[in-house]
Amino acid sequence: MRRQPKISRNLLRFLIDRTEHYSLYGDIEEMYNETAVNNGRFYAFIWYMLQLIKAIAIYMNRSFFQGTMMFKNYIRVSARNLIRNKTYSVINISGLSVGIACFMLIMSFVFFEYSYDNFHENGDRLYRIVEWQNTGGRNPQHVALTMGPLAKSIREDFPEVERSARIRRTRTTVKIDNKIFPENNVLWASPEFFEMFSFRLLAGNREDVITEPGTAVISQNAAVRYFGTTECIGETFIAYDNEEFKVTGIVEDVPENSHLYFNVVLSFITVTGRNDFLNKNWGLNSLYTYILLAENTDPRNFSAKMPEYINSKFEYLQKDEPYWNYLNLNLQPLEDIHLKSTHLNYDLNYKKGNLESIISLTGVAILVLILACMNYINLSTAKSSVRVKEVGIRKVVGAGRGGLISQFLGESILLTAISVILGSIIVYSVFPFFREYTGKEITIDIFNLRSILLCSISTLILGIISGSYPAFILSSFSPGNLLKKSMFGWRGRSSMRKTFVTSQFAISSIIIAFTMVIFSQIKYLLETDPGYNRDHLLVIELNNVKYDKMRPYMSELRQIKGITSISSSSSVPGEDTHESSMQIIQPSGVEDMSISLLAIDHNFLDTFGIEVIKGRNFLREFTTDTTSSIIINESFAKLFNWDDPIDKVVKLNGSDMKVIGVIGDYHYESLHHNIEPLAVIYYSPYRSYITLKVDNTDLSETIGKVKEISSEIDPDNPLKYYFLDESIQEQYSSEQQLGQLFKYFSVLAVFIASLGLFGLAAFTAERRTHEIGVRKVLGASGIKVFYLLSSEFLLLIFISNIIAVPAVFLSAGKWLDKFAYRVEPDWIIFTIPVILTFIAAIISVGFQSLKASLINPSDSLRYE
Amino acid sequence: MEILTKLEELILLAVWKLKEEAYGVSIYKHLQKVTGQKMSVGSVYFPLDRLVKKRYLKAMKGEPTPRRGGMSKRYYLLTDAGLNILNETKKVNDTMWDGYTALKEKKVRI
Repeated sequence: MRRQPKISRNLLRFLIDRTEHYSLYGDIEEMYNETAVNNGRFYAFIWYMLQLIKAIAIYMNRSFFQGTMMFKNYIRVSARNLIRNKTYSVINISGLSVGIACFMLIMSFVFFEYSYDNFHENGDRLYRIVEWQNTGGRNPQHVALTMGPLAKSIREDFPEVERSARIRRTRTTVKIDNKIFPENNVLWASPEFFEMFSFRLLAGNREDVITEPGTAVISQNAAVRYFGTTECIGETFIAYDNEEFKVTGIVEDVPENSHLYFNVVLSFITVTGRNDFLNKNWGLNSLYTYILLAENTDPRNFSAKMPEYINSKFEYLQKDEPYWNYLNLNLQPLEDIHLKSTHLNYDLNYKKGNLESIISLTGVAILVLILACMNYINLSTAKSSVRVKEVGIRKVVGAGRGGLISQFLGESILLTAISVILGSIIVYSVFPFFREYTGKEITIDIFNLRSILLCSISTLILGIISGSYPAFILSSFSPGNLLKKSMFGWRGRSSMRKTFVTSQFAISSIIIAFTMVIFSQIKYLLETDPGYNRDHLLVIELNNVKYDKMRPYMSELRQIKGITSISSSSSVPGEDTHESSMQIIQPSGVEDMSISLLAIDHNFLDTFGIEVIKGRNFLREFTTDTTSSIIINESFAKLFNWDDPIDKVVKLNGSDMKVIGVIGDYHYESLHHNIEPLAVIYYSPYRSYITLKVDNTDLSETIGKVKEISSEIDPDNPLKYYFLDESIQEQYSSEQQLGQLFKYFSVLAVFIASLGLFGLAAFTAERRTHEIGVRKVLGASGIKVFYLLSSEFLLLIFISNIIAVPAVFLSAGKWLDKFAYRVEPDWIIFTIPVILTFIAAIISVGFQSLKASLINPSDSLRYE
Repeated sequence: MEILTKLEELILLAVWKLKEEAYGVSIYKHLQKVTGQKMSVGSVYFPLDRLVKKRYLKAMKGEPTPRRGGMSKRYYLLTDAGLNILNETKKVNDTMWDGYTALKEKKVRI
């Protein structure tokens, strides 16, 4: 007993889809069987296939003509429907196209963010080594900086490491003849840098561009700026400590989606060749190490070897515990650097991204799209009662369920196609603003094959999603029911529509409330008393030249009339604070900890208005203050449970420091972090910032004078200065950006949801014209009618807000947990979305209800 | 009177000849035997459909057999209209063929 091949039988079944041909399968089976017995299976198979091919030809001939006929009809009917119901079409298309445009914009941003560092040839084998530190005082921290000798030694010690490079970022001024170019994006890099990373060299050899001391590779852009041409190999410029550099290579401008960004790369050997400090000192983390692993190396296996390795390198520091409890190295894949470095301190990351915000953005974009799709489903099921007749006639005339489904799907695909095209136009026109807003050089190219393919696929998917519900519901009714003049199309499905309206407005409320939470947190961040006075403070960053002449520089600055106070320090609030290890003598023994250390002068506390709670400030009268006194903050005292910290002794770098004062806790870091213990010393070599307190009588004149004095002291370098309150605001720029974005999203969401509601209200009013007429004849007032039409929708909005509140509480709480200091979302935050959604709903429903309630009953009843 | 296509005519005749045994495969085989032509299975079914639609044939469902993968046969029966059209076709054919001898005709040379 031989059976025909299963696949071909199914194919046949598909081709000959008429039920009366059921026996044909049997016939073919019989013949196949006979041929197989007589001539062998192979022969039978060939015969069978030939028959199949012939059948396809017949099928094509028969069905194609009919198919196109029906297709033409569908298109015509869809177009008619779109034109006849102008309001609904406009609502649907505008909602969808805005949703799609928003989605496309966000996705272009998301794709761009994911494209970072994807252009390196060996990108999958490139890793940055990052460090984990556990120094006791603070929570363990991850830093991107690593030790100077690491790159060289890791390559020598592990055969798996094919190449390694170390990089350090710096700023310098480039001098050519008399021209000066301040350059912010400068890298020191070891020789293999260009062999590991695939930055395109326009001139020079990858292998030896920066192998010699005093050589440099500059970008195309820099070459044109410095020399007016890109043909400048062999030219020289002065940079860094009056050092001469020869241009040995020109590199194409660094792509926007690179975490390493530079205009100039100087050969690291220039510094390391003559100074062994960076090659030998394992104790100092000061640069970035990148490695290229050999092919087929498992990075996890390699990482697992790191603790032992660290232990061997730090053997001399070994105590009872292995050293890996204090320090460890991890590999960070190159493609993770841009998005997954939020936990890293001292990062080298040009326009660092944030995976979390990317994910939440995508989520919100999808939500907005879903809102728009819900509109379509809602309106088309509502309209279904009108189209019930059309469907009934089609069914009676002989349309199958499949045909009807494909008709409705086709209709929604047509509608989405129009919206996609409109959406693309919107995207195209707002793209310049979008690019400016994101601050990234994102390019968008709608007319390449990939985007067109992506657009058409998403059109199909969207069309099917939004069209499937009406398609399957409408086509499932029996023609008898459809043609009976019943209203059940509207009544029967209204619960689903209600659910949709409710969820649409719930989503809108959530987004609005979240926006409120973000803004109230930003307000909180900016208005919380930081523990010091941040107004009217001008901060000057010192470079080497100004640092060397700090004394005369400061005394000249002090002469300026508008300056009331002046101080120098190693850091100012908002800038990184250094940490240092200290030994604290406790009754239980000596505790070794790493604690933030700030070096200041006599005026610092006064300039910043930081309060001294106990003891005293550094005073000129006490000469010991400069060497053996220390001031601590309250958290410090609390950490060691010191009730009276004055005269306690702390060991710092081997010398005893006596506590002379306690200052109030102030936020020397952003409010993302808790206030950690801080030790303040008087130590001039560390200071690299000068802070001026200015009175605001004539600010521009004061700044002009400051600039004048600075250029006298250091004519080569421009002055780098900023106002402290501005830089504090900048600390929260990512929150500000998120808030802005959510503001736009909430407007969009409310807009789309209101559109849908408007359509639904219009529809209800239209359906109930008759009823309203009768009611009015019987004596109902306009207000009653208005109430009748609006109350149902308003109830839905109310329910949606009830759903939204706990959702916001949960998600907002999670977001706020990122901050050490946060607002508690209060009830006022939740009243605003309620009010806003109600206003939106009343506007969109009210217009229709008002129209319906004002109609003269004689007009509405004339319809019969 | 409707003029049948040659295939329709042959199929009708085959159904008549096969009596109760006229279903897809047997008709197909019979035709193949008589004409000596290889033909596709599909080419039999469309004329059969057409003939059923024109009511010259009636289709009846038979019993399913295991040899056919559990699917039933579809038997065809000649209707009265079918018999009529066959008779008339025969008449036409006879008239048309009248006097024709299956001898070698002299080729006409021009």
